[in-house]
Amino acid sequence: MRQLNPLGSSSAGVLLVSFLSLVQISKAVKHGDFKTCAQSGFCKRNRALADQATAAGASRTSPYELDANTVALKDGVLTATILKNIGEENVELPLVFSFLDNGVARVTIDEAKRMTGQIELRHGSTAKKERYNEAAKWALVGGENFHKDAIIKTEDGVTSVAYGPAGYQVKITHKPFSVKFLKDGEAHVVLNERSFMNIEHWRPKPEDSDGNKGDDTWWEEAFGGNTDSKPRGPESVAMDITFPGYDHVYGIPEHASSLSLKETRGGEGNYNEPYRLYNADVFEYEIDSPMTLYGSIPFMQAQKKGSTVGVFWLNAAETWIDIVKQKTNVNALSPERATTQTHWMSESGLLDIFVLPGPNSSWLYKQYGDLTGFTALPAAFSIAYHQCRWNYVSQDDVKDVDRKFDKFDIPYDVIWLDIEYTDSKKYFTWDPLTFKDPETMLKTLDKRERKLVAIIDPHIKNDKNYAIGNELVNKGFGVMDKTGKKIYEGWCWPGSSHWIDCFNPAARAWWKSLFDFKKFVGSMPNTWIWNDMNEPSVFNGPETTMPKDNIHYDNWEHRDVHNLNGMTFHNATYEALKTRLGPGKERRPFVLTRSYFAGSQRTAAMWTGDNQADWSHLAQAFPMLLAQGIAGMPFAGADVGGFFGNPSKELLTRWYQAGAFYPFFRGHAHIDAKRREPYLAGEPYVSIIRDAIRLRYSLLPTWYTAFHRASWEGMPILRPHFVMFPDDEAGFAIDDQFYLGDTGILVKPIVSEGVTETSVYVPEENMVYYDYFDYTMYNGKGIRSVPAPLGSIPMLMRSGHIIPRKDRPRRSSGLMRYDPYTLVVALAPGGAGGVLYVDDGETYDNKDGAFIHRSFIYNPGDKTLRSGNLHPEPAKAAKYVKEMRDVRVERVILVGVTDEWKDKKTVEVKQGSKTWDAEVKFVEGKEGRASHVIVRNPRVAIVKDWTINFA
Amino acid sequence: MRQNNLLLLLTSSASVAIATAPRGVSPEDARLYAGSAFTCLTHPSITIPTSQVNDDFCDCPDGSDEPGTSACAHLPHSALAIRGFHCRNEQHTPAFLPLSRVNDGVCDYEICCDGSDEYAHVGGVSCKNRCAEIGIAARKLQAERERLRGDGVKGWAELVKKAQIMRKEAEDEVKTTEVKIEGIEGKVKGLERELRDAEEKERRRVVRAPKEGEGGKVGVLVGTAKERSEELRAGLEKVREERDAALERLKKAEGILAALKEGYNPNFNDEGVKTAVRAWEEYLAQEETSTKLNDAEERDLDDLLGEDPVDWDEFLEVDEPQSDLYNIEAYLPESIKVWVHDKLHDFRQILVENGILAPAPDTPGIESKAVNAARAALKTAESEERNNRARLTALNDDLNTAYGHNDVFRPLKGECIDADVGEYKYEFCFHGKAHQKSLKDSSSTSLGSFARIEYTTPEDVGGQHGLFDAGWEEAHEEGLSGVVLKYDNGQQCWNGPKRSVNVELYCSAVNELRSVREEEKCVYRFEVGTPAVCGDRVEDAKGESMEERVRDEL
Repeated sequence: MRQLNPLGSSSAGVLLVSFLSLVQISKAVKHGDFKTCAQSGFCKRNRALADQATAAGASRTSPYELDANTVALKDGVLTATILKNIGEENVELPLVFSFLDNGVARVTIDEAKRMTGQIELRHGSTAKKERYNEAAKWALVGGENFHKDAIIKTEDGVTSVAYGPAGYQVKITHKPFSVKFLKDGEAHVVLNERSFMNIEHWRPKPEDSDGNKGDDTWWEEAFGGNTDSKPRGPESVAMDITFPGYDHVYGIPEHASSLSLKETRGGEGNYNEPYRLYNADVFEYEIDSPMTLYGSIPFMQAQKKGSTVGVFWLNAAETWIDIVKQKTNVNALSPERATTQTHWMSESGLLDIFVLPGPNSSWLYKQYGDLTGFTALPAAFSIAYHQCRWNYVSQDDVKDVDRKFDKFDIPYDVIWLDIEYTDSKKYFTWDPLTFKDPETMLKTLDKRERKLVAIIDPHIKNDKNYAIGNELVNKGFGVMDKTGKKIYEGWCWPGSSHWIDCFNPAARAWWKSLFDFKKFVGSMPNTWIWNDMNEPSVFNGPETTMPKDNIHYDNWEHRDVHNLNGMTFHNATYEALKTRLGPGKERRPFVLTRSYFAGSQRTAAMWTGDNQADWSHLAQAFPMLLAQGIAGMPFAGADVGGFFGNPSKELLTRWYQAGAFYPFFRGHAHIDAKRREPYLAGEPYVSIIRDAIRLRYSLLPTWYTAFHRASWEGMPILRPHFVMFPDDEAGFAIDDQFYLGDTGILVKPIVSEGVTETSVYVPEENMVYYDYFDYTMYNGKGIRSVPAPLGSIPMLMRSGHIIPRKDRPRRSSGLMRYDPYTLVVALAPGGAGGVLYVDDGETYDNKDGAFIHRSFIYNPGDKTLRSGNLHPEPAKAAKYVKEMRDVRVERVILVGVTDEWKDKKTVEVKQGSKTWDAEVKFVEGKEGRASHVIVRNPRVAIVKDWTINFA
Repeated sequence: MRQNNLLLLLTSSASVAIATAPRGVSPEDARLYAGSAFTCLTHPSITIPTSQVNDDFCDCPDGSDEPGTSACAHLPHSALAIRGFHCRNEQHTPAFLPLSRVNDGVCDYEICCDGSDEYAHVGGVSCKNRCAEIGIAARKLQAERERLRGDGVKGWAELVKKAQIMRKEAEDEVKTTEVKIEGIEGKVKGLERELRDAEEKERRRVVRAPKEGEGGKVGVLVGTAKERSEELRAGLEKVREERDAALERLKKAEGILAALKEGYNPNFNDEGVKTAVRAWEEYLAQEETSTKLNDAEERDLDDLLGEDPVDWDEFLEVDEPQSDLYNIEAYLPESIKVWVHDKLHDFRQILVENGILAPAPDTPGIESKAVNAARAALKTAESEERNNRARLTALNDDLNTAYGHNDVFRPLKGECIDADVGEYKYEFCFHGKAHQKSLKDSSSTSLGSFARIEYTTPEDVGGQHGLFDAGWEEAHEEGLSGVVLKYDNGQQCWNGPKRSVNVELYCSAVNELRSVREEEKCVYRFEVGTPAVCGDRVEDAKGESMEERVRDEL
């Protein structure tokens, strides 16, 4: 694609070159580098089994049977044995079925022979004989509140268990084995309804050469010049999971696909390949594809009108998920509704399924968070704007960019260093020529409370002059090759490299020690870390990653743990950063990771990897970020501007407007791309970008409050339509507009070229939506046209909400700490409400109560706005409240007032025992805009209870 | 800029300075805030009580009611009527701080050395007045800068003087060269005449008979030519086969490289692969046509190797005389031609039979000593003429080259400076080339050659440098002059344009390279200090350059 200009130096030549560079943006992923289902043995086998079962229809019998004599229920945990009939003998598959208080149930199936080690491995492999049973150890933090009063009953070959909240029941059919999860008698989730269940038991490889060796993919698989020795032969697990009456499913990131997942077995508008989860460094990934990407969260949410359920497939091996939808209702009287049927396949490990009952999204996310943990409340700076590029080439370059942001009055909090800052890609070092004095650079940044994020990857340079590399080898902390004895050597940025094995506790402890300020010389407390390439990316490995037969700590095969690998690495980095300042001085780390798994939300933020500077990638980002929120990892963003290629100024500007609504907001660019720091764009673009970034900063109080809610309840920060309006089926597939936290702010960023207006779906009949900027009113349900010239972002405020903001722009978010608030009250007939959460944004003092948590409620009855305290133990906040006592509310804006307010000049303010008047100004709304009043400097403190009486 | 102008207007009309200016207002502007009410400076319809000036709430849409707080910091820059928060900076220089930096908890000493911007002690910050020390340091810097600038101006004057001399020298040389050329031209004409005469004489000479041998000289020659021709044909045949084999191998190798380029992953940044792909692309760009077989050439080859069009035997057998006289025929009408031909043939026959004329005439190229000498003399004279003309062209080109106002860059031509930045040594020669040389290995990359001088306005410079005043340290760094030397047509960038450099000049006592930055892919920016820009304001330099341009076009 890339071609040099043969025309020499003429300006025509230059034009041609730039034209070519535009054309080459439409380059595509190299499909040949990644497996299709047909190229992945177990996926092919399980799909074939599914096809056979489907073809056989009712005559197909699943070979799995629950041995009724083995069933026992104790303290909420049912144990039994499933027998797999393989002709002369049965394979014993122990089942553990756990029932939790909150209605969550877990089905875990293992293989007896492997549990007891009665198998033989080929090629003298030293790998472990058990099926991998430690995914839970990494992914879960809960799931042990067993419902001890669960009640069991068996009759007519069906075992029923009543558990959890009233009305929850599980029905296990013994032969063939299948499970129904019911709520008030109605099935919401069914396992093995279609008889796709498959547990490939261990078997010896047949000796004689002409005998039946089974499938050609059982014993060896070659791909891309690498042969997988498969010492345990075939061992996949698969299950079909049906959601009766549920026509939409979401989740299972990471895919560049729509939020509402598509069918995968062909047909108009559908995919032909299953959604794949196998963390990989997919170069120039394509959009609208079920291909795997950098991270995996095998959590799926199913939604139908009025109900939602979820499934969590706890398996860290390569996984594929087929989705089809059956139109179940041929009765013309009721609307047609689909049943979604899914088919989950993993290459190895346990069959381990959690069924989460919902029945609404907020409960579901809480249930999922109780299992895998909630997203960490981030350091406050990390939700502000980040400026990155591959690469800022020197400390002077960094200082220059830093200075330019100030000179152009554009706020930013964090500047980033990609791999080139190191001395020859040796992490924990600095290039001695370009970063001679990182400490002075970091101190310069710190003057404005700015931070540096430096990249540290898991590949460690294989270089005998690199002390850390030598330590890794000598201490045996690297991932081993398939012999289990020799450290694995592959190719990455530094050239020949080894990979740290963070499954090893000793390796993690060592890793932690490397971040000591004395060890990572030149790093400082305002240095944070970016973990890239942790899929792991191995340039010369199969599918750009590690061979599956590599051996990790405790002799687990890489095959078993692949999707966990990235998480173990960023967890280790997180632990190191948390305690750098010494005991009692823990700080909330900021770690960005590219690879992740269920549970990663506890320690890291993610971004969507190497996207491209074109409009389609801008549009693709929101469905991806929404899916991250569904799957419990909302601290997510996409590279603003697009990583590869050069965005037009319009695209860059629109991307900043969109990025201002990414939970993780970072501009980034490839090393071959032109410089594109916002101040370079020229007018009017610079001013528009400045406005977009300032908008983000002014809304930081609400962003932080939304993160806070995510951190203890799991509610996504960007809320898709179906989460907000679970009864409005018409909006279940919407993924290009969304709500910001609990603020009622509805945003539809522009993601296509040349747009001057856009259609926004306003979902409610009786609620007014006000334009965020000029208070234009949108009444009534339907698709509404909203103006969207380049300088504006379509943003509406749902009436009934109160939005806390900080309107004074500063150079960084840290410098806004003591600035006054503005409260915007979007009036609805029933009143309005909002929440604000504030803490110091960097320590863990909030865990000891050092935070401010306020409610703002406007009561239309007595026309009073009240600030109330939501802190459960206010005394514990005393010290922090004292620090914040001078922070006031400088302005209250009531939007949507009637003409009665016209003559109002003052309002009465009460705080504690004192009462005073504040001025108000009425602004009449014209041309379809709502009238509003502004309370001028009411002088109320953010930490105090107060009222403003408008009567 | 807009608000600055506005403010200038306001301040220039200020006649009386009022002692008590509100916080953040300069004494010159204090009068605007006098009285019992305040009217927004650019929104006269809005009047507020004085108590609402600096009460930390933004009332005026132009921010003029809050010069001493950050309350109006959110307003768009284009709306602001005030330049910012005025720091008096006694013992130093007063300055304006952007409103967004007032009471943000940071002592902005680089602009506000008196610490007056943090009067609210937000978060417990306390900024003591550092104007005394900063004032001293700034004055020291200022003095140093002035000294350097003085040296720079001296350097500039020397350059101008030198340039004048050089121009004079060049102009003189043009004159002398022109005279020289005139002389040589005469000489060449004479020699040409001499040569013609010598040749004429030669032609008229009666040719001796050849000694012996089959077919005489021509026969020998033809025999040798035939042999030689056959040898050449065989050789050509062989070379062609070898070439075809080589082309085949090249095609294979190119195929491998093309596949590599198609299939490699640029994101992996494997230097080996990247270098190979880069080299391959450069090769493609340069070699594009050479590997292709040209059909016409190929046909020529086929002809050469096919049936020999020359019947050598015929030449061997027939001794067709090749006298110059023979050419007379060409001038005759067809009927006479035949008659003349016959007569001549007969006459010739007689001459040959009588031993007067050699059967084969002289081959051209075999010349007498006299002709050789005349030719050599002419050649020498012609070469001398060429050299002088080349020199003249070079001199004129040089005289017409834009060396800036007063030709100030003329003496600098070819002077080189360099600096080590990161892993490279950057080298730059005035009116020459710019290079990037690796400090790790000996590789060198051309960043371009001098193309032209450009002049940017101070506004342009401001536009690149943002909205606000620079800090005092930064302000005392010598500013850019606006004179830019453009270097382009450097080595082609992989996946980018040809490398180029904008050399931004600032006044300096000596030539120096202050900073190097890759502003965008393969477009470099050097900041170079030189006395050459110490003497002129950019406007003057620019004006002159316009004149020059006009002159050049005439």
